[in-house]
Amino acid sequence: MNERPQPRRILFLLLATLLPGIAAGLGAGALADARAGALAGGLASLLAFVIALFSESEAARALTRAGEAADARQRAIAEERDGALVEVQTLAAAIEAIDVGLWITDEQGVVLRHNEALRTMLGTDQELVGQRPLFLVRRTELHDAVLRACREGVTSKVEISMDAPRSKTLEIYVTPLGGPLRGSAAVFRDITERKRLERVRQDFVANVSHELRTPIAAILGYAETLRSGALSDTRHAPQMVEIIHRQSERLGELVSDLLELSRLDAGERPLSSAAVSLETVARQASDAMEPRAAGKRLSMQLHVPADLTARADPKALEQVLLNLLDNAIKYTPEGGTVELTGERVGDRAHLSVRDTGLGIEAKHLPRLFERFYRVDRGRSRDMGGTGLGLSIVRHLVHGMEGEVRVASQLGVGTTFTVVLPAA
Amino acid sequence: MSRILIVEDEQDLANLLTYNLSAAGFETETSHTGAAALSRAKAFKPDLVLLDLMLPDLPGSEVLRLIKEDPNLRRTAVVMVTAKGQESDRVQGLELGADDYVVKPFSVRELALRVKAVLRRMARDSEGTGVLAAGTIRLDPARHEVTVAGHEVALTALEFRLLKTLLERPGRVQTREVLLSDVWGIEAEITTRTVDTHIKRLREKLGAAGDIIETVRGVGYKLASPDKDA
Repeated sequence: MNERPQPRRILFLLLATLLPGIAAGLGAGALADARAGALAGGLASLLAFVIALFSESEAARALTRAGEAADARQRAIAEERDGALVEVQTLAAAIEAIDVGLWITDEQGVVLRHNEALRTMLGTDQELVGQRPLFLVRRTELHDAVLRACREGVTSKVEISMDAPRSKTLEIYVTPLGGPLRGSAAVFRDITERKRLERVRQDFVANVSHELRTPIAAILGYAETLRSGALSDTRHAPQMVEIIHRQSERLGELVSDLLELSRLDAGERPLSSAAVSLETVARQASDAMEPRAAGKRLSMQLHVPADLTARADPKALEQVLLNLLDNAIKYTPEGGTVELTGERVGDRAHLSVRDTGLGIEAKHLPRLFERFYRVDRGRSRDMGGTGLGLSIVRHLVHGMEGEVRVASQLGVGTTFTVVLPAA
Repeated sequence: MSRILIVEDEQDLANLLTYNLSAAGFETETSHTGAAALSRAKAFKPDLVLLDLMLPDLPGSEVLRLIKEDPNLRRTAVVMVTAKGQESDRVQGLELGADDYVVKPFSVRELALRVKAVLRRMARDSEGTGVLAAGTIRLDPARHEVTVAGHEVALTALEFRLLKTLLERPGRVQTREVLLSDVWGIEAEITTRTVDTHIKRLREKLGAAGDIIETVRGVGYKLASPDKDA
């Protein structure tokens, strides 16, 4: 810049040189005394200095401005680069953090990159990069979907079931990368659990509809039969009316049990947790069931220590005991015994309902608390069971942070034990 | 008097069916399990089995298959009792050779009508103007007998009726819907793969002679015209 003085700079230098003289001349004309002359000279010098300073700083500033612009550009580029780096790192971290599998392929469908979740999902240790879909997942549907995405830009959803290394179902979205990018991306979701729940739900709905349909079929069928002439069949008509009544009751019980279960499932029945005298609750339940037991000439015995307490919801606990006692009475032949006992075991309180009934085969025990699971469907229905009682029992006991156990011996009897935190 | 075996594990429903079918003039017996039904069917030789598909011991479809595979029971019709929402069971049942179905909860009058209709269709199988023939296949309605080149072929009642229907209409395309309606007597509200599975089995049983049943792609089936063979 020194070699090529700019016009503005020259003007400033010129002014700086000339101005002291002009100022000195002005000062000499206006002020006659030496002090004034000296002052005028000083002012001129100062002015000259200021002007020189000004002109120098202007040039320097121009220089600085240019430098600053370059610096800013560089800073912006660096910031942009850092930002992009952070963004890439964030995205990479996010891709690694999500529990869905992901791969990106080139336009030939060859895997370019993937996340760890994908490797876990495919259950493989092999290198995925550089492989074709068909080699990694032996399903032509997926392979075709990837090629369609790459070649035709078509997005598709594929669902595949894999048997090895363990049985699972994957749902895969395959989509072209789009924009200027060639190739495709595939997002893998493990929907095994969702599928399982779907099956459980379907089974449950099928069971419910079957259980509801049977009494409805009987009620409708007998009513129709009576209406079309059987009413005058004096031998059979009373039995038919009796069946209609019994099946209506069964339908009612089924509906209330289903509602109870649904309330428990939805957490609409909050259970309290207070110190409860087990003797009091056990006595209430046993008193309520006494007439039924007496009707079947069963001996009902109560052995719960007066000082035994547990943390429980008294209403729920009574319902549990009523259910267990009801089952015991149902499945114990005349002359048998139903016993309700209590004891403290460590920091737990045990309440047991023991009967001298038919007993349950060991193979049924693990599934006994499942909804609609029946050891003997015909027998259970004859006894008026809904198939939901034990399932409600387990639900309630779990709600009180307890557990329910069962032990049984064919021909000897069955014992259900409710274990609760002692208070 | 036609004999009906009622297979139903619910005592109240079994009694309901017994009462109504007896009132309609049928001789009935009842089995509460699939296993009992299979052994009872052999002795009772029912004309029709009313089969609840939800049994405590065996899947109803398995009972159906065993009945249809038993050479002594191949002329026994089976009417399934299924639940709504179990279309897949129904489709499978029809493919396995069930003659009809009723949906629970059913009207007892409708059920009796359906039972009668199935038995009527079976009775019609034995009617006819005489022996029907195409190529080496001969079908004798009166004796309920099918032979290929002189050798008897054991067909179920449905396969027999399907072949008879095709033999009565040589050279004319029969759509799946028409076959379902004329052979099974049901409206095609469910998949027509039932027809395909039965045609496939019929062809297998007829061996090389079965080639006479031609597939008309996308439409249905037809029996090759005799003049084409000549």
